[in-house]
Amino acid sequence: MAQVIWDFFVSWFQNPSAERGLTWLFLSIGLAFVSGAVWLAAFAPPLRRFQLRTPLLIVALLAVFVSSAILAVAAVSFIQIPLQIWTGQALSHFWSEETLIGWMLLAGIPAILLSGLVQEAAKLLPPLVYFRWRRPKEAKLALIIGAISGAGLGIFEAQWVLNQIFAAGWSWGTVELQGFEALLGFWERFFAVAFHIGATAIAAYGLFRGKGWQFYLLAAFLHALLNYSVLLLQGEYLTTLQVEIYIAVVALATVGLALWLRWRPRKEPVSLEPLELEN
Amino acid sequence: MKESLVVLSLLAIICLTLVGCAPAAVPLTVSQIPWPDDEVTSYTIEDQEGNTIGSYNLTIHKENGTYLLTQHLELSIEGEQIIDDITLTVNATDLKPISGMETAVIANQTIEVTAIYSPGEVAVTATVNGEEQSATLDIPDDAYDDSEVLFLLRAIPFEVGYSATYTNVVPIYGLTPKATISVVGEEQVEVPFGTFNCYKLELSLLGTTQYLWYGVDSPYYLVRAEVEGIIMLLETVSIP
Repeated sequence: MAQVIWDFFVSWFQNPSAERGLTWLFLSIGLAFVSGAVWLAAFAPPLRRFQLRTPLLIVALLAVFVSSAILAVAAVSFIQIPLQIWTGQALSHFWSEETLIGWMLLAGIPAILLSGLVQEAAKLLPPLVYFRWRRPKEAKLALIIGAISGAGLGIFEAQWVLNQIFAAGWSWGTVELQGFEALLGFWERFFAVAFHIGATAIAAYGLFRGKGWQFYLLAAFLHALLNYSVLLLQGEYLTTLQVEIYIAVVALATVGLALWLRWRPRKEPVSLEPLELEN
Repeated sequence: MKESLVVLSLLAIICLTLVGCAPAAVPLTVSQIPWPDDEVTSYTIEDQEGNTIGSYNLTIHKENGTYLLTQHLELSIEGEQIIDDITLTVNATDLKPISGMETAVIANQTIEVTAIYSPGEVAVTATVNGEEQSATLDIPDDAYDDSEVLFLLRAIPFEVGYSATYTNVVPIYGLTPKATISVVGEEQVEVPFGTFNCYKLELSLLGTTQYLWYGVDSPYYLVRAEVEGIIMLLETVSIP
């Protein structure tokens, strides 16, 4: 198991598409960044209010972005996957494989919940550290720091997936032969990036408001709801196309909520209180 | 605006730094053609529980400087019948693909695929239930057709520790992923045709790992294969 987990972790830092040429590598990374930039732009980060002329703050925001990606991937590899394996083993102890497959929509819930809880916690950690270091002056800035953190994992994950797609030899010929299905991977990543940004923005907003646990659990639940599509596909309750629509709907609802919090016309008082961390 | 550009540039640099360099790869080489001009090998196919679920025949026939490689698969998985017939023409010297034709019947759906290889590209026509799609795919020099891999691997330089890569062309999906083949050890394998000392090969492709066992002696029969959850076991060999 240890080797499988390590190989999975290392795979995030490899770039198999480069074997086809650097163009494909840059396309993987470029498309991932474009997806992230599109959704981050919707938040219209007021860069000047972050006082970005201060190099230290630029570095701090970059640290949030990068550490979110690294922490989340490490958390998935070394916490989420082992916990999911042990959960599966525990379930197998009580029920047969046939029963678990027959009750997949229920039996799969613990593993799905774990994915949300672990990943959202990992993405929320950098904003939490940032807030302790320098508390944002208003909730909207906290929300945007969360969005930057979410973009870290979202973009990193997107370049990882797109790398796999291009490494598989994807080309326009693939689209000509497979039709729209050949584009579903790109569709999914675009909305997955939106989801990561939206979910962490919501959680960071809650953290700033002193309701960290509640908003963290909300983000984790939304993440689990998104990932539940895996079970619906495995159980053949939804087709691949329907699953991609499901993912887009959940992602849009999540990022929509975050954008509503960002843009709702409400005069916020400037917070002068020190950050209260919840236990 | 300046600040945004600085931030974006730094982000791009960091991400490029994060993704490591691709490992250096040794291209696959054909070191020998071990089979006679005509050969038929038959396999029984079992599931993980040892139940027989199908059969597989591989045929080799030499013709005018080419090998005609044919495959006939009959499989029954969870009540679903699969019949797959493949005919592939490859160069007799380096086993590079020349043309391929596949007809598969899966759950009453008929799929026909033709692939015509030329230097640097392959022209594919796929017909699914009468609906035709076609495309031309760019392929590198190390490209081999997915349908010839079981044959091709008999021709590699067998030595424990040998590892090489090639481009695995999957015409039906229009994909050309890189594959890595490694000789990972030697094992004794028992199949209906007998007991063989074999090289164990590990084939990594599209994130999956498959294992194949080839006899240690020429003509390096494929003795056993574990591919996508099914097990192929050598049953008979005949040389017409």
